[in-house]
Amino acid sequence: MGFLDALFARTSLPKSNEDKLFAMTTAAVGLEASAGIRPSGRSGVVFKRLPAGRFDQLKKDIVDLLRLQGESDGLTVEDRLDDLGFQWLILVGPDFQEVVPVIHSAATTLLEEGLGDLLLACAFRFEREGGAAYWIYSYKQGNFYPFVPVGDHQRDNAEELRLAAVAKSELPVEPILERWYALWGIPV
Amino acid sequence: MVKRIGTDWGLNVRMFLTLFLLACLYLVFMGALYRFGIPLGFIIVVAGLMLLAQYYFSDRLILLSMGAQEVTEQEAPQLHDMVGRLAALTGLPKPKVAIIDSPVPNAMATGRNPKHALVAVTTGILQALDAEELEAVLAHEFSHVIHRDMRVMAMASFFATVASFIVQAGLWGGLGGGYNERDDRDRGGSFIVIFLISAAVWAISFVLIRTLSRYREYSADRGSAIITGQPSKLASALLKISGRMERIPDSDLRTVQAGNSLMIFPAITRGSVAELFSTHPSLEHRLAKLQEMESNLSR
Repeated sequence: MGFLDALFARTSLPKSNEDKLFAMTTAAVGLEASAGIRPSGRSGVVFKRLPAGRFDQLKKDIVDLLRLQGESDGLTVEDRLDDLGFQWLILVGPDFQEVVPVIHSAATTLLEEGLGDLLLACAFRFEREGGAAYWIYSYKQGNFYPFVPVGDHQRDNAEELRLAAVAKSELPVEPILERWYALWGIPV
Repeated sequence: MVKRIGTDWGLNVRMFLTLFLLACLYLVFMGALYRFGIPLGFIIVVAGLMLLAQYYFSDRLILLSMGAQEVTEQEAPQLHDMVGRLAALTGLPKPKVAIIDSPVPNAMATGRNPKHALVAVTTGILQALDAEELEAVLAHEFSHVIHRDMRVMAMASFFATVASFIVQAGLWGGLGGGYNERDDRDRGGSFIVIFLISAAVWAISFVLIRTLSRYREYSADRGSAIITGQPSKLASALLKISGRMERIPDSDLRTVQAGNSLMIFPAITRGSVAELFSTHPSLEHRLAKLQEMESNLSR
């Protein structure tokens, strides 16, 4: 972090984080066999909104970029605003080999504009017996963690611990449980 | 001997003090007998009988002191059902089932052999855990019964007492040889010194026993994982029992990190000295091992 970054309290993200996201492309296949969950074809990236007009233009650019990239691969893009005022860009397409690079390019655009701080997480939805399971990629930690919501505002901790144990060899799993923050009402 | 899951410092301290005072009582008693010229062979027989009585009755005594009530199949049908299923699965005779009226979530197994085994759970654990987690905890207790841990630990503490007694006897032989010529005050002084040394020997063996106990906990965890095939159920039960299920937060990533890049996470420091005296390994270590088993199972 440079002097100016420190002065303006801009946090820069470690570079290696970007590669870690790509671990999901190969892990998805293995997770189906070992953990009994399979990709549902929905994944997304969530970031904080800025009120300014520049942000709206930027978001529009990103959505256009995603649509452009996605179309050739048959991906569709959803643009959602959640209850907490966070911006979600959701990609619908079954193949993580195609989805992850597109999500990554959205994140990169924000990073290049110096808005890396806004980036919160990526979410990958999986189907399991009895509901959905999510793998969340936190940009702050650069690690993945499981999130299995059940019912209203509850999570299945046993299943999350199981998923984390099984995925450990394939994904960089966040080792500190206190950082496994929930994403209630996740639109992915 | 009692096996427990989770860490409960109050109980641990009480248990340690009870055992320590019990051992001190033995040592004072034996030392006094020997000191007053009663033959060594006779003392050893008496000590043996006392320890044998402890071995046979201590489990019942401990249960009694904890207020464990044996329950019939009518009173706790689901619990009995679960215990019966685990017994069938492990090929053990079905142990007796007891419930302890306590809000502290805990479970234990006692009994010197599988035929006399008793599994006790607190009302707190029945409330805290779901069926599968409770099954994992009971399977852990079953593993203790299978491994005959109650016997192993009773033997170990027996030898600890014997060892410190031998030290005591040896010192009396060396120091007390010419005590006839000394006055009463001197005798009192060497009595205390010798007693302190043998108490120290006992305390050292106590630490060693605790080490042994922690290894037996790991194997009981492993046993539970093998019996249920679901290590993560035991893992989440352990988290719940330890009151640290909140470690996986309920709070939302968006509300927590909104504009908050200065947040610091408390570093978890665990005292290794504390673990030295504990009968159970730290939660972190147990969770790590369970995780390893989970990933081995899926392979």
